[in-house]
Amino acid sequence: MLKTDISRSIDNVEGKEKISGSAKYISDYAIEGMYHAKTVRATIAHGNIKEIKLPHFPEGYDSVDYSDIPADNVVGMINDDWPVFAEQEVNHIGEPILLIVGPDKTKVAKLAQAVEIVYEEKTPVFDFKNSVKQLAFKKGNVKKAFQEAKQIIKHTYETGYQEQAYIEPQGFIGYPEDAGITLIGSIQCPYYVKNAVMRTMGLDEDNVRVKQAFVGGAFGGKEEFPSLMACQLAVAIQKIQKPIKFIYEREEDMEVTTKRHPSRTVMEAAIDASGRISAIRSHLSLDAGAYLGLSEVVLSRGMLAVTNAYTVNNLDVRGDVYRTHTVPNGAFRGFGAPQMIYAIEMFMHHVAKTLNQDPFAFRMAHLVKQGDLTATGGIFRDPIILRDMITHAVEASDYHAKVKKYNDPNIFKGIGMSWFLHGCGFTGSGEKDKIKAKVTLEKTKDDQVHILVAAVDMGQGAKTTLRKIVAGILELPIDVIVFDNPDTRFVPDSGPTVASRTAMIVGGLLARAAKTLKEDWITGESQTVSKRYEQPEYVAWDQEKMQGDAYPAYSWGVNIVEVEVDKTTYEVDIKDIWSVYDLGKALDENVVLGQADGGQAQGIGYGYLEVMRHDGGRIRQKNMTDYIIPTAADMAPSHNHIMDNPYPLGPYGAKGVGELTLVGGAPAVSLAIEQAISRPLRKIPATPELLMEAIEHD
Amino acid sequence: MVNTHRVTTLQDALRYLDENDCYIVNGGTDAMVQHRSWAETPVAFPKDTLFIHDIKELNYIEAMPETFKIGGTCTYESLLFHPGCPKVLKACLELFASPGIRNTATLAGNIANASPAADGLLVLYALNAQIVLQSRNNKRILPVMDMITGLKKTARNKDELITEIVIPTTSFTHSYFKKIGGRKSDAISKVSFTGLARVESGIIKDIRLALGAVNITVVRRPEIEQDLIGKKVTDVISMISDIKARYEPHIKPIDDQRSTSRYRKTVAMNLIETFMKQLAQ
Ligand SMILES: Cc1cc2nc3c(=O)[nH]c(=O)nc-3n(C[C@H](O)[C@H](O)[C@H](O)COP(=O)(O)OP(=O)(O)OC[C@H]3O[C@@H](n4cnc5c(N)ncnc54)[C@H](O)[C@@H]3O)c2cc1C
Repeated sequence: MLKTDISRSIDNVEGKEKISGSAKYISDYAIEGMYHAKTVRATIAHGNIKEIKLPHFPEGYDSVDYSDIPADNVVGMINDDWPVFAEQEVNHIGEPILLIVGPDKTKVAKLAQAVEIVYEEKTPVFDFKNSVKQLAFKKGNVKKAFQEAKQIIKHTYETGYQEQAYIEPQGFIGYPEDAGITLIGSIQCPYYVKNAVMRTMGLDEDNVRVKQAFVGGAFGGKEEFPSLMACQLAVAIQKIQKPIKFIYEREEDMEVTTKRHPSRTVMEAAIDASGRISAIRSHLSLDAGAYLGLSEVVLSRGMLAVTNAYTVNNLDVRGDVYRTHTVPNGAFRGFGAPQMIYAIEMFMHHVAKTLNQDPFAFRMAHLVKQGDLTATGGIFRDPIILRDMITHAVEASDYHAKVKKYNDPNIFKGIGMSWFLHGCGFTGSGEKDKIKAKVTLEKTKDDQVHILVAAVDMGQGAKTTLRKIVAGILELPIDVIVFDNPDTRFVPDSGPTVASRTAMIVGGLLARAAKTLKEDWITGESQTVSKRYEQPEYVAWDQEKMQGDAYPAYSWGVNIVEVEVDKTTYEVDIKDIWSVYDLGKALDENVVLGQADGGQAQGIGYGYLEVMRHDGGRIRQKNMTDYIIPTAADMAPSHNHIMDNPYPLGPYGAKGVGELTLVGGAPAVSLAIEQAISRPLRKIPATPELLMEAIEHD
Repeated sequence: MVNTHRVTTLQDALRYLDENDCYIVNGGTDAMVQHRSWAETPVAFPKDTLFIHDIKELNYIEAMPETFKIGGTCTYESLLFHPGCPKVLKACLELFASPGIRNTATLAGNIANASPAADGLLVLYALNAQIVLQSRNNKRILPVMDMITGLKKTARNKDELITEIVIPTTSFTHSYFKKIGGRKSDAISKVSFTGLARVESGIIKDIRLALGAVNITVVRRPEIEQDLIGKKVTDVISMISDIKARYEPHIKPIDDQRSTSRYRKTVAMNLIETFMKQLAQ
């Protein structure tokens, strides 16, 4: 390879295997003599288990529950409140109580159905009542700004559940190996799984091995949830000493796995004499569901996005995570940012309207620039090209002319624009203190170079881009760079495949390793180079006070969506989509465009289509018929434009892209719909049912 | 476990139906979904099951001057691309499921499944379709409105097969099909509407309105239509609220995971109005 521009696309390295069907997903695995496991779940939202009546088990069949756990009945993640199996108390419908394991699936299913559980029911809580985590930070002098305000404007914004809707449901297969346990799974984070299993089982690191199968989509849904299944399966394997396959069914998956947190955001702005925002008070509420899991970190990422791509000098930002008796919510592409970016983008527009100012000019007047302080008092150090990006998007879409034209309330058309940023990598000092990523390049005697990292290609193209980085620096053809699915026996912990960090952080480490290897290269000899993450010195973060640089770098984007609303049926038709992205430098243009098309569909779908609700704690839309995600027919062709703005510490200048493409979709489509129906919206998804209520009953 | 039996001739199918109490699978797009079971375990069919999709002699379309006939195993995709396919049916099929489903699903299955949200069935109501039911020793023809007897209920005897659907050839000056699904492809109707009319010299000669997913079966009210026949379209405009009021008691939609009763009702009423206004144009 190839002194050509890194951005030039090559064939996705997994494409052939996936299209031909030879790629092995978790349900394709079979092990001679394997058993199957099925979960028996709570049928009430809250209460105590009084009695479990098990059926008679024929030879070879058994149940597995909390009493079989060798060490901790806890799924090890950021907060330790999530049990592997319910012991006495159940806290949501679908909470796992025990597994039925045996050789024949039909019999396993029958036995699972025959388990009878007697409960003593307690009153469940479903609203924002029981706060279990609070975060807060401040900037400037909010009190003074509000005292001096000419006007105060306040609105509340609400967002619903969103389901990841990966093609492949969650699953593992596992077996006893030597003195320990080996698990193969559809996962994003091999080491999260490994660490959780070690903790639950009381096993040391040599005795837990985790391998990644091909992953049929994840979107954050396979970040922390797989640890729960893996711990349960490990307990079962230890007890039964057989290989066991453990795969969720679609409806089971949709009912009981983590989703995007429903939220409520209160935004209150102080307007100064010049008609600009002098201060914002904001409060973000997240519904964690029954267990916290990662919710605190989701809350923090949400709060950090409070001013999005604007600079506001005085801030008072607070947030609460509430526990409810519903399915636990967790990681999902964007991780709290989509909720807050929806709120702030709508709010900026609504404030401008209230002030009788042109929303575009109003928003531009608050635009962030290089050198400004972030919401937490860090510094935007790197060049910001957002102004040029906006100009490009505005011209490409003929935005201003359309805004004017569609202001006519009789034509039911609208155009909406969002702009946004997304912090790349873990929040704050997470990369330095928690993850401490390590990568290794191993050159064999025949001069093949193996990439040893725990990063997972879940369809986003990590195998393609990471191989390109290494091949590019070593100036070698891509096919001598080997990147197998991670196996914790061989790969170091380069961290989870999350937080838009893989290309920038893991890729950056690989680039450094490749440079060293190139310098020391000895043909025909085996060589190993490892690199560990080092935080740029200027990045300083105080987690306690939430002050400083929350992220080492930011990616930026602009989305414009044009819609038409049907006057008879209130249906929304997406007419056109324009986007501009600054992700530093594209490591492969097609990979980025894939992220753009997919992320936009997911973000726009979140804004107008994807309804998921619970009724007394029971999820109502639990299959792909009832949970409506957009099809290709629903999305307009999108015009995507990538603008280079290389980040000095990223490989080839690359920053993150995975989440960026989702976070602006909901406000862009909502603002377009709002214009089309000439009525304000403060809630997503903006469904035809909601539009009807707004139009017919205002 | 239940037995399964695959037939390739009508005669074998009718004999099997005569001799066994069995469940029928045609394209399987309702049957397989409704009887899904844990992956890699047998489909949970309620009883012995007869697979009829391979009966070639029922896989036909016959466009005659008076009638358009559709065989019992004919798929939507072949219907959609048949030049004689009635315009309103074509409009429906373009929005029906997605190409993959349309390549196996059948109109016979849509009728027998008798869902109030069935799109094909809705159009058949408006087209006054006749359903041919055949058993080993008998053959009878029922108007589609008599075929459907309730929510997911039909007049089919258990030894009968739907072998043909007959659509009388009629020309319409106005043809309106509207499906409101959750999205543009692969969606179950939240509300659906078919309006057909023949207007000559400003006079309504024929008019048919059918509404889906707003009651336990498709709603069609011949007595209201009858009163409109012979009226001037220009007069109809002033009657719209009257017409809507007459339909109103029959529009009794439910609240469910896909939509609200209020939305369904409001939109159903809007669609009636939109269609009536089209007549005057
Ligand atoms: C993804 C997807 C999308 C869909 N989209 C739509 C849609 O847009 N609109 C819509 O209306 N439906 C839709 N459906 C439902 C389904 O495709 C239709 O109802 C279809 O017409 C059923 O036909 P089939 O041949 O597959 O029937 P089957 O599933 O084989 O059978 C359905 C029922 O009819 C009976 N049956 C079938 N053939 C006969 C016969 N010849 N005689 C007697 N009984 C018979 C069966 O016993 C069964 O009870 C969708 C389904 C899926 C899976």
